[in-house]
Amino acid sequence: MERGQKARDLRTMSREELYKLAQKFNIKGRSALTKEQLVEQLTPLVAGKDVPDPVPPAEKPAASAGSAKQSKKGSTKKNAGSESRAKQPANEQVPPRKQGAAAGLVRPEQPVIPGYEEAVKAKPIIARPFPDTTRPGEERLTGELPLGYGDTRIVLQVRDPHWAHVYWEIADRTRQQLRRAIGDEAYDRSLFVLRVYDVTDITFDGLNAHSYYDVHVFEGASNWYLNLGRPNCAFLVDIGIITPSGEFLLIARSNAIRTPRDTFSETVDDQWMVLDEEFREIYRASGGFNVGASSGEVRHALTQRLSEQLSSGALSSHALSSGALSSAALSSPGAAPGGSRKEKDFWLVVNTELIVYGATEPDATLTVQGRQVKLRPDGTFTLRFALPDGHQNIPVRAVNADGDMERTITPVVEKVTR
Amino acid sequence: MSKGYLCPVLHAHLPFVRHPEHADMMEERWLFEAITETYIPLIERYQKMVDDGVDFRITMSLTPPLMGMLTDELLQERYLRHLDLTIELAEKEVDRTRWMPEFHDTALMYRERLTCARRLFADEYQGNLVRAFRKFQDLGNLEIITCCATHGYLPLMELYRPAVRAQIELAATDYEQHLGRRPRGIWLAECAFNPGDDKVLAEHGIRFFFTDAHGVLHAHPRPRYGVFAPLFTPSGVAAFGRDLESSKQVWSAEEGYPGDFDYREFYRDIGFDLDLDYIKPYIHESGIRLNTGIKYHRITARGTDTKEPYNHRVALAKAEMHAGHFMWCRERQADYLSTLMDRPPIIVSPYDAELFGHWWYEGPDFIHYLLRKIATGSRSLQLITPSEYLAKHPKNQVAMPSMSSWGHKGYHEVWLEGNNDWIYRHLHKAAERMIELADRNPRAEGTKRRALNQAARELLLAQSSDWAFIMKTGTTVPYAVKRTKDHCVRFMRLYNDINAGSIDETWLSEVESRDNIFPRIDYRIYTTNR
Repeated sequence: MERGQKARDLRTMSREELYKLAQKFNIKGRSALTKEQLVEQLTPLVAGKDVPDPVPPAEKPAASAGSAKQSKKGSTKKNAGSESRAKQPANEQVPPRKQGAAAGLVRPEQPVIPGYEEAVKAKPIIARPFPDTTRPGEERLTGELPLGYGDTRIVLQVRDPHWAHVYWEIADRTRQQLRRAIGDEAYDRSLFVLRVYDVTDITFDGLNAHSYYDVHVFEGASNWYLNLGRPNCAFLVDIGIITPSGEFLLIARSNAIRTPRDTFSETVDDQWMVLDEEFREIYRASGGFNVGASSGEVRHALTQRLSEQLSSGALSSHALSSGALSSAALSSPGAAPGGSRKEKDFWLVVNTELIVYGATEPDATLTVQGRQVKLRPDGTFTLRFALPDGHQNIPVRAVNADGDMERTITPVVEKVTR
Repeated sequence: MSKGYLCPVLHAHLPFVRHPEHADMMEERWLFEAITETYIPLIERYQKMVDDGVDFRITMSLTPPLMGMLTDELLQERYLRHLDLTIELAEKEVDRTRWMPEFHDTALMYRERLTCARRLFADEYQGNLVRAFRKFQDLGNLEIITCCATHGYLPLMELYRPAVRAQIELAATDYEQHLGRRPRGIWLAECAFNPGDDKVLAEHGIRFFFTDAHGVLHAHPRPRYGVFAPLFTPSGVAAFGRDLESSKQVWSAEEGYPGDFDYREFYRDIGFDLDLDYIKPYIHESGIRLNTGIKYHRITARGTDTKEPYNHRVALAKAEMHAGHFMWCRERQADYLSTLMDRPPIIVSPYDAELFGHWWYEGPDFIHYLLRKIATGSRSLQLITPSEYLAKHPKNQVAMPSMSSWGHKGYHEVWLEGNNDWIYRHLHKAAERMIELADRNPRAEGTKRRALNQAARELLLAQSSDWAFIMKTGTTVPYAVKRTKDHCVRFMRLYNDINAGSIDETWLSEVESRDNIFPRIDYRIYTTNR
């Protein structure tokens, strides 16, 4: 299989790229699909054709406003009402409403604008707008978030003493500039890398880091987990490309972070000094060798867990890299909490109840087995009893308002379970 | 003479869930269940101690979203309707169980407790439970502390200090509006501390906060007393560290009290067990089965589905025994610690309030017995609030606590992992844009001002750590995803409209009526230079 931009195997593409393709082919419910499902849906569509470049259309800085307007327009069309619900990705549904129609492949609708097809051909990238509403009247209160904001930037955040998370966005403008600067061929053969610098206690000038390492990322990735492995140190990250000639070109530089300490400080305060053994004792009594034992969770050996090396430094968080679309986040049914009857191979539960109902004068006093029962305004009553095995006499006695007339009827029930 | 202090802290919080646009929104039941099962039972037990002259101390955070919901008229009405329905069901249950003596007493108990709850809620406090908590604060038994305005996770907001500041400033103002004075302390959402945030607390007159044990233990320089005395951060705010031993006794899945076989089983609820026709009016309008809160079984044994009938009297006796055991363990702990320290140790035991009552049905009774026992009969323990401690011990070591949280593994992983890491690029962008809006519009009036205030509300609501937490833990994920998206989408629209100078007043009114948290918010809290 060729590895060129044009004829890539769908399976080699990132989920984000597939998503953009799905957008192009107007696959409904695409945001709820996993990578595998996207490949499955797209394969028949691209069969025998070159895979179009999934790069998104020109930046849309005001993406949310744009889509809001479009959806407003869409909602005036006759297809907006009941269909808009089915179009909504399943994850958008708030329980208890029924989930949207199963995500599936739908033919592009008939063009509604004269000359639309030509327009589509001219701009093959722009997906057909469709209203992203949960129901009529909601359209401007809800919606999907943009994939990016047209920025070129990178943000680094601490996760714990050993790991950090980094997310970034590279504006198309920036990519085009890069492409122009080094030429198409060099650009296509360049590697995207995250360059992670240890900048502990220095003012970083781009060259004076204590050390650095590179993490290769896919061009389509937009976030990554970095195994820094050094508590109580400062880091920052550049995203850039390494050209075929080995040159590193900076695209964006992150903020600096400092990882937290993972043990007690070496520094002792003169005014509050104790012997080392004494400190260790109070540290132990404070649970210091048990850090991270959180609510309801059995303690795991902290450092061991956190510093777990993944092969090749920071093996991809790729499965995680398009969190917004993550299938894990979408797969939960969101059904009622609680119910926990464990599935067994086979089971049966049988219960019996007895309903005693009737009517009398609305102002009468009624007792059942000697206990008073409140009548409804029309003089009717209903009682529902759980019926265990055994014998029940159920005298129902009504006395009129004047207290001078009464009726008693006594159902007798015998229940046996065999 | 007391050898040590116990500082119990209950963190009461629920995310802001209020859907005027839906008649029966399942997620609103989170509040209803917490009111019936946790807040009212706690209030009742505090009252009982006050009536008996027991001079107890407890610290509770009431988060701004929770106070907002407890004082919201729509939610008060809806709660009362929900409670009345539950009482109706409890009445029917008294009839239904008539021939089943093993369940009948429990049915009578529910009817009795729910009727009392109604009296307390509707008659005594006119639907406003914040008044009840305020009463105990004014009596000196309860210290109410605040929390980040919408339970925003501060360490993951670090890039936008004005957004951090807004979470604190708004929390303090909101507290003052509800409770008539400034808050002295704060529970940082998820106990998540980021060095530097203490300065923001100091600027708003907040004198103490809490960290998980390792926040204080890994402070710089080394803390002389471990977690058993607070530290002053360089900005002069006290940091109290969580005691892990006492936490584990309550929380641990293995050895924690709530798993005792005599306690009520959470997972057997008549909402799931009874005939659909009968239970239908009391579950969700769509027919989806839900917890009704009426449960008749005890935990019985581990790993079995065969559950025995619940006996409330036996369970209460067990709760009292556990409270005694807990006190005994703390006394031992204080005895031992006082050999290592030249001042009385303070043992800080924070818990999620909703654990007590909602999950652990007998939890409020446990709290009640514990407070009562210590207040009236402990030989070496004294109950204390952080403010009282600081008044007694004004001199404390100065050190900067370490970044930490009380989440699994102790840092940010619960709120920053594969299922929820996607939210931060949107939350950060919204924070950046909110600051930009505030800086650019220092004196907006009229509709524009309303739009700016609403933009601030949308940002704040999107920042609730609850959404990331739910995405991670996996129940009602679509709801959390939708809430995050909706607030961000509404924010972006407001941002664009404000910049374009074309605000759709009708739409704005709709959003204001839905996301009506912080009625008196002032968007200028986001201004960079204040």
